[in-house]
Amino acid sequence: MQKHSRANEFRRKRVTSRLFLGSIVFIFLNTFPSFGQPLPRFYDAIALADPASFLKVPANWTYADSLLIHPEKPNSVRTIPGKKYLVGKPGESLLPKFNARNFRLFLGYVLSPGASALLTLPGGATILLSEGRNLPEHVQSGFTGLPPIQDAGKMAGLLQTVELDYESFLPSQNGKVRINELKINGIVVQQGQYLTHDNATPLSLQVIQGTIGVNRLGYREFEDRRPIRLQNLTYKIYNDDWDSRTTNLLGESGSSPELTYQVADGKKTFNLVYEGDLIVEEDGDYDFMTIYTGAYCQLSIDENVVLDTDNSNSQEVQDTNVRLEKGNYRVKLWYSKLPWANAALGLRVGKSGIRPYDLHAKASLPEPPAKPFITVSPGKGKAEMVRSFVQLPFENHKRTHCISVGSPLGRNYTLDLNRGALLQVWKGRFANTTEMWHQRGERQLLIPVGQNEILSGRSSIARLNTADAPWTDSSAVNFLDYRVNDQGELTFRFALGPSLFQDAVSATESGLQRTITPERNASTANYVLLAEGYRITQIEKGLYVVDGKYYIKTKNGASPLLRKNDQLEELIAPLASPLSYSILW
Amino acid sequence: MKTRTIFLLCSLACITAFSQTRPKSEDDYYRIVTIPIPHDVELEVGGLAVLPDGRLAASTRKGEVWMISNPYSIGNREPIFKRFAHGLHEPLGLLYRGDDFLVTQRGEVTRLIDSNEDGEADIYESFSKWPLSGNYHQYSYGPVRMPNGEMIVTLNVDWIGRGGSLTKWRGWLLKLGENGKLTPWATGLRSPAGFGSYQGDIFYSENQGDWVASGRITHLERGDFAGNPAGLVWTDDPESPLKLKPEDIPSTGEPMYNIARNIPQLKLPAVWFPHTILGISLSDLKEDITGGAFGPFAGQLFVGDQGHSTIMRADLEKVNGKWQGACFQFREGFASGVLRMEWGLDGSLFVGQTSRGWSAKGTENFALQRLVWTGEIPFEMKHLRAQSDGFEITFTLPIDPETAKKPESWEVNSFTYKYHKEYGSPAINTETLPIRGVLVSDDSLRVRIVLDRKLMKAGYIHEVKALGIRSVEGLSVLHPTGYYTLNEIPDTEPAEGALLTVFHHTEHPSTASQSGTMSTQAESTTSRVGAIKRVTVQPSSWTKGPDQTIQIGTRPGLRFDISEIRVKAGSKIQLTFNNNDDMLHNLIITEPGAANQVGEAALALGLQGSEQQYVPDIPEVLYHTQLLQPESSETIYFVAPTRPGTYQYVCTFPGHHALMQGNMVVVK
Repeated sequence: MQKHSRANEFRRKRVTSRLFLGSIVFIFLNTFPSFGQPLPRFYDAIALADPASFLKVPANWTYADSLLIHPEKPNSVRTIPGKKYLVGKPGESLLPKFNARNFRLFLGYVLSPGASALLTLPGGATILLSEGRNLPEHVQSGFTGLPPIQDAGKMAGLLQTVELDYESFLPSQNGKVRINELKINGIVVQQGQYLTHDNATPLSLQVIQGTIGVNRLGYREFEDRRPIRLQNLTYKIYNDDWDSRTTNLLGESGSSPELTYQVADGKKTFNLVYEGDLIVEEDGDYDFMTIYTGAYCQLSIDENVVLDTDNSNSQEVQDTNVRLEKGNYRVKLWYSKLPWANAALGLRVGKSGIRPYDLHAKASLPEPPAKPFITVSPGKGKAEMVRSFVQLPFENHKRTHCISVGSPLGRNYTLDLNRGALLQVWKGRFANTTEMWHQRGERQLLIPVGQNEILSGRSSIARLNTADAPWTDSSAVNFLDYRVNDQGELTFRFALGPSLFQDAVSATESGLQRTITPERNASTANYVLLAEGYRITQIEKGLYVVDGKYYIKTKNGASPLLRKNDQLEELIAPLASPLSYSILW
Repeated sequence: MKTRTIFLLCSLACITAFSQTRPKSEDDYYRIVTIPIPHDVELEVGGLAVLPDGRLAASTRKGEVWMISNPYSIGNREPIFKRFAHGLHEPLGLLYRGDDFLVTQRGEVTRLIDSNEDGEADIYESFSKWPLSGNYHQYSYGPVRMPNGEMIVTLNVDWIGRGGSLTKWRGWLLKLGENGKLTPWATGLRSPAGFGSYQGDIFYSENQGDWVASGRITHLERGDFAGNPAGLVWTDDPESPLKLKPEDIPSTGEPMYNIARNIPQLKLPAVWFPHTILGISLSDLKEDITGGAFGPFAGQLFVGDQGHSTIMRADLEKVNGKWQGACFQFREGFASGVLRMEWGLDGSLFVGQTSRGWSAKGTENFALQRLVWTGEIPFEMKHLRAQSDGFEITFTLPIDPETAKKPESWEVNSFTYKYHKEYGSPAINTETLPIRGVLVSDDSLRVRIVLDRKLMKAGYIHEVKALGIRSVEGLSVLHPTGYYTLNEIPDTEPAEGALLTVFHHTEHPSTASQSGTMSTQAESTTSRVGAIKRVTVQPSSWTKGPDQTIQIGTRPGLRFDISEIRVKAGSKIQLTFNNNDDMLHNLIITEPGAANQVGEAALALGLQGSEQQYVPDIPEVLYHTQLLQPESSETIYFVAPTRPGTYQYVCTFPGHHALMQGNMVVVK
């Protein structure tokens, strides 16, 4: 039952000699990764492929293996027969069999250009899903009667998600339903919204115009049971170093009625090991979450390590899922406190049908101090820029020489100046700089506000001796300067060995446009890395989709090369003359 | 009209008469003028540059460079703010070069050019860059131009529970070439926010911290090691001008002067600024090059302090070829933490301020002010210089010689500090030095204080107090205490016995504590304030243990993390204080309403304070911890008072007590 909860890392390996030439027209039959996309944890799937999952599958809903959607052509949706997608067109609603009243719901979908659909929830709340640029608030994805906090919808043809935490039965507030939280593509767009209750409404999805392809649907109900508890807790405090991952120097030991770090309070560092009984009253797939500030925390059940994670600085949540039958188990929790941070240790458990609840004493997980929300937003006509540290979710070090630019069009990016690498692009209000400018700003990190796509973290330009040589990350890239135009947009200048480049990035309504121009000592051995991903698919000449997350569109008849290294596919293009491409999402 | 004129003349006369008798304050001599900042500009000053056309340029901690017109408050006094650049990563300096600016941000010196002359920078050039670790404490400063044209930058150490140097050249001062090349010059630096020229030599200011007992300024020559070993990890680099390694530096707690005898690269500070008496976080230093436009201290050095919101003054001399001298209080009351100072075109002093992240006496988050001399000469100790047998003071105005000839007008104490890896040091080996006599010059401007030659201790700081001295007009010395760092003892002629006014040894009231070192790590339950106030071992009579266990920690911005605790009257309490901050703190439990009083009593302890853990010996103090190093904790045991009420707990480290308080509510 051993599971590690670490995010996927891009692993760099040598490029194999196989090469896919993009100039040969191939249109992948599967526009999107053909491996079935699992639901994230906390949701149980509704089997889309089985008609028995639905009260009714009307004629305007059909099955497909995949859809081919061109982001700019509304009427060119083609489907390949299969069972992975449920494809809906305007007409009758799709009615899943669904009896839950208080639940979490997950929906994975794609939209055609200009499409819109309405998700109606038991109890009567509705959520609009729509596609378009610069939509008025009442027509944006996430409109529920109240406008969404921001427009987090993505372009046609890209994979999108809805995550909803909803209660249609509030015993203390008759006649009301409540949207606790609605996220579109991971961005919170509604919180704490009350609506009036309508008994008769079932769960349904109706297409208003265009086409929707649903590839994931899942939910989880909530009840107020606590089928797991801890008992007979004893603890041992070890004086081993905080980063030693050993328990040799036993200090104190004792028993405690509650799970709390406070038994070791007063010590600057400690390795605290709790052991006890885990009483499980019903079978199930249990989610265990450790929430802590510390050097590491390890959870074991009956001698098996089920969760083992490292440095956590502000009560981050780590989770794992364990199947347990009814019975008693031995449980062990091992926590190490950081010398420079206050201790915080929590253990939470959840399961389908119940809301997660805490197994720790409340005082073991203190309220972190309130922080203000400090942001930078561009002015009316001008972009704004901020140099900062940036940390990507899958890396455990900070990139220290980064610049982020936010445009009034709401399209923003971060560039790593040390590597000449475009790190991330996002749509939204620009930047959260609380971690930089609140008090001392101990993390000095800029956090994107809005729906963020992480690109390759590797240098955008490199010198390759042959077209299939491995991509060299930041080898000879030297950042020289950037120039600011009247709109506040930047043109960077980099040196790559003897070659000099200009790199101009500007915002558009649907994304970013980037033009890289050789300034001096141009060479056919210089290349640009346009994109990197598990699966890069060509939609048509010059238009590619990367992992269903964003599009790359090239200009000027540039012929990119699609090639593969051990792990990932790369889209590269030679840089002997100016190259212009767009990132759309 | 006539009646009004008469009234005006009368009131003027009254004012004049009044001003002759009331005591003078700093404001009579140096005025603080506040430059109003538009409400949407956050001018957390990191760097200042005075432009020859009358504008002032300021770089800010949130990454901007602002051009300020009319900073001299002329005409209708309105300044105009225009943003020149933005998006920089916490710039802490600014250098105007005419055609461009150079500004040091965290990881780079950036050149800012306005190529189309529209008032905004449009080229941001990476002039010089260095790697960073991601640690927030790696502040980078400058560039500063020396009189010989060379430019220098300094790099702060990391904070890793102590000072660290995780990436290259942290803890160093480097020369910055016109081509952007960095050349390492000196190391041993910890928090080198203020640095620049004094008579063409490089000086920098340092803050109390690990290996640094107290604030100080040090002359840096090539290959010098100023005391904190973090930067020594880079001496293997072929360009490093010294080869010392961190393991070469012993942490014995002996005075720095003793250790420097065996480590020739270790550079003693020119002037120590006793912690909490003269500053707690020294910042910019500026030589008075105004030729008299800023008052009578031309040629001396002004040093700012962020935590105390003050500017202090140092009078330096060369003894045996080495810089050393005295420091004095000069001007307090700035609106925020003083970080940057620059001379205006008219001999006034621009003072750029910020306090975000650290508390300062000035409560504003940021400010821009200007210090202007009123033209009146303050009665001060202008020079405090060493002699082979004492000191010679030159006053700014003639004194009343009779006041100098009274023994009770003077006091001289000496003390030193420990040099060790711990954070700060108390004053140790404090001693009152008996004064043999004085010699007043014929013009009544100079006084020689003559001590026993044997009592002049090299490596010690000498506190010279002129409390009883009056000017001819009856004024008290505005700042009557100076601290002279006596590294070298000059070989001057001894005072002529015949002209000396001899003092007979009487019982001097000594403000110094008993001689001898005081360990800051004392575990014993006996403290100066009585054994019952601090018990660190659970009393054996508590067979069932404490009735209540409490933990209190700290939060940034000088706070306890809990603002109120409740205890039952008469119950047994085990209280653990966790100092998880990066400065020293203590915790004192006081009588109801007495927190401020106890805090002020701690301040009044003066030099003794640090030896006493800043715990005053008064009945309002009920229980206390000792002064705790950063990231350490202490557990004390006490019985809660039997009388219900809202007692208090407070940290009395100087400067902290106003904010760092909480309530201990005792209930029946």
